[in-house]
Amino acid sequence: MSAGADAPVCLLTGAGGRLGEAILRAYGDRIRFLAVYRTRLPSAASQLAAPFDPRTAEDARTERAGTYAVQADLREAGAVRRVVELALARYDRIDHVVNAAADSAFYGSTLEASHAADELAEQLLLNCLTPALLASEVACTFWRERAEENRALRRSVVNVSSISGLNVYSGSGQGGYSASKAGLQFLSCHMAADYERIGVRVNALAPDRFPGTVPTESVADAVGSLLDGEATGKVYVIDRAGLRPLN
Amino acid sequence: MTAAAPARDAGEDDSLATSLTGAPWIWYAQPFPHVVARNVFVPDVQAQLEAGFGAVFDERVRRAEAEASALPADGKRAARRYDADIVSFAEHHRGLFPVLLDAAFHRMLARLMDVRATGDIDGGIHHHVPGSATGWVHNDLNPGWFTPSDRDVNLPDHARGGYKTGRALDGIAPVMRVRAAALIYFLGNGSWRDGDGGETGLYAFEKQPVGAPSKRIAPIDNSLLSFRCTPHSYHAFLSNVRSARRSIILWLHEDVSAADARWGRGSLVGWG
Repeated sequence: MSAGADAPVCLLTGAGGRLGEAILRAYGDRIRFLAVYRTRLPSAASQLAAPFDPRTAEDARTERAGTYAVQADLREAGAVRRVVELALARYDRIDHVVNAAADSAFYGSTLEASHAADELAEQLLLNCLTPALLASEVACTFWRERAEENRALRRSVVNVSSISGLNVYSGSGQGGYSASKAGLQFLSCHMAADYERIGVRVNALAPDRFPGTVPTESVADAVGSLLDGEATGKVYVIDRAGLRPLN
Repeated sequence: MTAAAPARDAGEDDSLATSLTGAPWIWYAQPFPHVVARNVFVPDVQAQLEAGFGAVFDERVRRAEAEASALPADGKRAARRYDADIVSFAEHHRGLFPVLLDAAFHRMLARLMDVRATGDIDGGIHHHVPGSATGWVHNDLNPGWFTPSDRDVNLPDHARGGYKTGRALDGIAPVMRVRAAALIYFLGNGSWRDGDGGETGLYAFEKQPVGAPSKRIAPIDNSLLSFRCTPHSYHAFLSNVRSARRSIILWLHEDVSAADARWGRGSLVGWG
């Protein structure tokens, strides 16, 4: 079942990833998503793909889904602006931004970082800076003049970080990844302070490994609770012990 | 006229319902509208279809060996452009392929593809030996000729008329139809893995390099690919590297006038 015409709108990045898919599954019936993916089209029903029951469907495209899927590499020039324009053209509003896109590769020891300079720069751009740029684009084109409405509707940004941004795992070769996520957490706190005057909440979520340590569905539930809640300026951890704020 | 649109028989659709697993099929918009489904038929039906494939293929091999040089008249190795052993369906194959050659299945497929099918069906088994050459980008919007029949599902009568030529014995007046929807059902391919090849490539435009499709449909057992045949339903067979690739192919047909109205005269692709 798709979300109704009055349902809130969420701009979700990383929609084709494991967490993105879980978020679409969990909330697709009550949130309208502009689902941004880079390589893998989300399996959730969208204008580009729609599951159906061949025994009963009138034709292969009977139901028009609420999710609108957009392919984009957000590191490319103009991509951030394009997805925001598409979201507003499609839905006339954006209530939430969930930054779940990430480059999760470990590019090796920092001793040899000079040999992976391009990869590390791209990772930092995607994992740390792009979430801030995307939220800023939404803020500047839609949220900035709507502070009261934003507060009333509890509009928010959720930046999906990682427990790697909180701990040093020696010898794992994830220095670049870890730094990008640590940076995202601090950036989220700064964003929360900056966005307070326009009534938009900003939080970061640092999950332990999923689905290895934490079920992906639990991480999706945590994202949902941050969208629904009142908190701002918080970094939350979700691990075996559950969901809790760090600050 | 040839066969009328398949009539609905009491209980027929119930039979179809019990043949399908109930797994969802998925419609995709890009690079052209198509449907992909996995885990399509229940195990008994899947086993029957695999047995039918084996029986027809073994028959083809025996006849080819007996004739030493030429392959059977209703099957040939199309080495020129499409590198496969093909046996086209004929009347005596009906019992070997339950569901796939039943009217209820074609009625469902016509509904899903939104085509006004005539009940005329062409198809067959396709067997690609390992290392078969990659095909060419084409759209399947081809004509086909059928001789009159009272059957709900009318198969080409290869002994009396040529499906691709319209040539027929004296006294037979074949009717020209147009391929309206295609279905490829994959079976007997074992545990397919990335890198094995044998996929069906889907393309956004005719001149797209055949080796760089927009999408690859893996030949996973008990899965299918289906699409409406349009001027833009560009697809091609991609070379199978490691193991044989087996499939059953079906085409639903519609009237030439319907195709002309939809796509314009001159859109049909003749058999070159």
